[in-house]
Amino acid sequence: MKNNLKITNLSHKYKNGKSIKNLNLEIRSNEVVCILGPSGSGKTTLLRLIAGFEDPNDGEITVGKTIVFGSKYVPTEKRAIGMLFQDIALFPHLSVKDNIGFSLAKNNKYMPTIKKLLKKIGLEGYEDRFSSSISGGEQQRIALARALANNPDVMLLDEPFGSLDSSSKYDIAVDIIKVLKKSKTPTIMVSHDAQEAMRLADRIIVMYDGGIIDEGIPKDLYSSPKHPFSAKLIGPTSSYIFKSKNGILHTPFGNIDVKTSKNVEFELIIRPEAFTYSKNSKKSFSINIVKYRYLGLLTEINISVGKGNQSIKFLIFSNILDKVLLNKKILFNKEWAFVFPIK
Amino acid sequence: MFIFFKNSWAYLSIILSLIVILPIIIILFFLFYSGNDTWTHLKDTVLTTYAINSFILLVFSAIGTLIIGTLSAWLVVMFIFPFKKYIEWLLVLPLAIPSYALAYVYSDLLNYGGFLTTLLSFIFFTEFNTINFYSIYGGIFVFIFSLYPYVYLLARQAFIAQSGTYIEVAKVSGLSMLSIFYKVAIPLGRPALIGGVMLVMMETLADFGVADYLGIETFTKGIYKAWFNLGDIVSAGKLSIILLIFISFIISIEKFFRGKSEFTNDVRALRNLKYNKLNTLIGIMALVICAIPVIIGFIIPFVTLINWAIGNINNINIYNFFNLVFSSFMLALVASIICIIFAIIIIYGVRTNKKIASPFARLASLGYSIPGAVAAVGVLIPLAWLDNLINSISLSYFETSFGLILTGSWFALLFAYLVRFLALSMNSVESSFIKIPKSLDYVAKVLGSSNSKILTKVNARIGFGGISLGLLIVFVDVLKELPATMILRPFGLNTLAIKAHEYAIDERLGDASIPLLAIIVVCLIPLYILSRRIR
Repeated sequence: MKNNLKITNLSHKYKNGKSIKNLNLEIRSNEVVCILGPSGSGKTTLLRLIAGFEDPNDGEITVGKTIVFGSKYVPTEKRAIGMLFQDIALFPHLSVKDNIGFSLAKNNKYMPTIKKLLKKIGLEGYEDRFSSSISGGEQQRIALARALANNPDVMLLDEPFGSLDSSSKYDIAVDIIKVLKKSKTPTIMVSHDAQEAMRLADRIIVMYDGGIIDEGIPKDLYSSPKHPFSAKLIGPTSSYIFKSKNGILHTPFGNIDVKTSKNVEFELIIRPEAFTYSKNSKKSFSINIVKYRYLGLLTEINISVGKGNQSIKFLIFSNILDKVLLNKKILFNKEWAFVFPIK
Repeated sequence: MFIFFKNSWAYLSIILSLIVILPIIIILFFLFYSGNDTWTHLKDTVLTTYAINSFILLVFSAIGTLIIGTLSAWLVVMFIFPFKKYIEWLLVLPLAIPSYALAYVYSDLLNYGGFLTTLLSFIFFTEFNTINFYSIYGGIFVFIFSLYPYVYLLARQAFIAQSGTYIEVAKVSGLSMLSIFYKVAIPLGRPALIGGVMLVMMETLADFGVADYLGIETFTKGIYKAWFNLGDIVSAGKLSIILLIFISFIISIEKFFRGKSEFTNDVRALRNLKYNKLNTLIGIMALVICAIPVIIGFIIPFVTLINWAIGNINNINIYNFFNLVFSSFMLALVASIICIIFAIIIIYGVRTNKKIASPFARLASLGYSIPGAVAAVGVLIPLAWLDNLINSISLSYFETSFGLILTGSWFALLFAYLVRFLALSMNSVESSFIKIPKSLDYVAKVLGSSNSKILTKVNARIGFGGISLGLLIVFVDVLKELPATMILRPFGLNTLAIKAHEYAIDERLGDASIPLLAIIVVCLIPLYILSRRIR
């Protein structure tokens, strides 16, 4: 069982004035955590700080049982971390076996270790090949074997599947995560692809503007997000702004309690799951469809509200489209509507 | 403390850069030094001549090389004509011949009764006996035909990099190829053309051999004379600072003209250029235009030197010649190894921490714009001071003198070469290191490698080609170098270049041809590598 990674009160200021502020994070052994966020949110910088490519202004980082930044300082080369990069970064002048064995001493255990690692990633017989003669997916698996050869306490994945073909990237990614899970290496993966995060991670952490705004297992993050940004990032949504009146939001879909006596603006974010069709439900309400756009799994519907001068659009699942068009009725489920006060 | 160790390569890079910058800083001190009688005399008598001659040489060499280099580059990039494939790399060959060798050859061929004078008289039925090659015109001729490849290489690269779409747009707009040349290709290629002309100007200002042989009074020659004939380091220093101001002025002009015109190709517009096939007559004209600089700049001087060498082969003292070759090659080898080690450390230091090491590295690379004579003066002053200090200490403590252990040995000369040629090896190392993705360094680091191991196991291995080329380029430049070697060489040290120059000054051109051919043959090696890249 590998040790975990712990980050306490980490702060770091970038050259452009942005910063990571008082970030706390703990990754348990055998856990794959994905840090999700837009460009400039600080997710790659966080990996670089853990790796030691950059030094934080404040805070503490513990890899395994060793404090690597804080009261002690351990340079990158002694931090017992493994890392995979987007550009794969296999040494072009070295064969597959020398790439994997880069950190190994050339003794009688050298070749058996390499063969064992190649077997683990399903690329036996690739020892003497060079990176130029193998596919991107194979290269990334060899990069994984190279990182595992060092027996790291924690594995950092910096958007490692970004350069792979979209047709095969999820299969390769799943294989790689399987190997990491099997080797019980705690893993932090950085991504801006929510689909990838949902498929691969045990836990997702959403970063925005240098801080963690949300975290949880994929299901929780999808069904009960704590921040409007993470709600929109993690899955399809429709979003509106309404002002409350006496603690109630009056929306075209029904009233929603907001538990405040002040009349303030709220952002209402609705997932497509909120809209269903039920022939006999009394809670169904009539809609006047102005137009709709088929998007595959989802359909965007535009309905007129009030006296017909205004319209509002929202997403529904396409499998109920025909019934909704025919009966011009829809059922609204508040569980899939998330309300956030606008600050 | 850990931050210091983390950046140790960057700090090492800064220290090495500072060592190389030191002589330049010392020269700058002459700005504040009031001159002596010799300086007053020089100022009143020859300073204006130095300035005017250097200026004329600069301007006309720049114009000549710009025309030849740009035109030939445009023709080989845009058109298909007979023997184009060969002409394309033959145009580079004049770089193998030192400018002073061209001066020796043409001063003889265009002399009264010389081969070319006789030939021209025969062709034009008139006596050509009025060509005075020992003049500033001779100098301009030599610089144009020996230095135009600098403009050619950069212009060619710039034209190739230009997108074919621009040319197609111009064609659709009804422009002729001539109009496209000066309305599209020249404006887009301006930064590269100015860069090429800059190199020509630097080389012209740095020259000693041509000016000395043809009797043109220039700054570099003045520095040499002030030090050797008048024994006055102050005047040499003062002249050096004026030359540096001259160079700074040229660099400023280049920066001004370049301005914001950092042209980049719009990726969407990128498309390969299409060659235009010329009809037979115009194709032959293009061939002739491109062949003339090759014939004048390489074939005639090379053949002449071979002819002279064959005629003088019996005069060679094999033992002395091999001694000369050995000492020249050893000097060039040691200098190039030192330069490449400095370059690798400085560039790798910048790679590990660009923010702190890069400004110093940039200053260190300015050395190439500093003529050898100036570098020599800059090196001489601190080392002479150190020599005196060592001697006074040794005299007071051991009652014995060590002599000139720094200025009287290879040390001073190698230091001057380092100042002058470091930029060449740095360029070569940098251009190969820059292609190595930073992620390889990061991977090696997380796999437990120290910076030294990353340098030796990753960067130096992958960038080996660039390192070797850098070594070779400095090697041939040291082999050709004259002014710094003449000022700083220890007693008894002779190089191929110096021997050739001494023979030439004594009008023993036949004897000069053999060391010159040895230099040229070695210079052809990096040019062969370059030509393979061109092809």
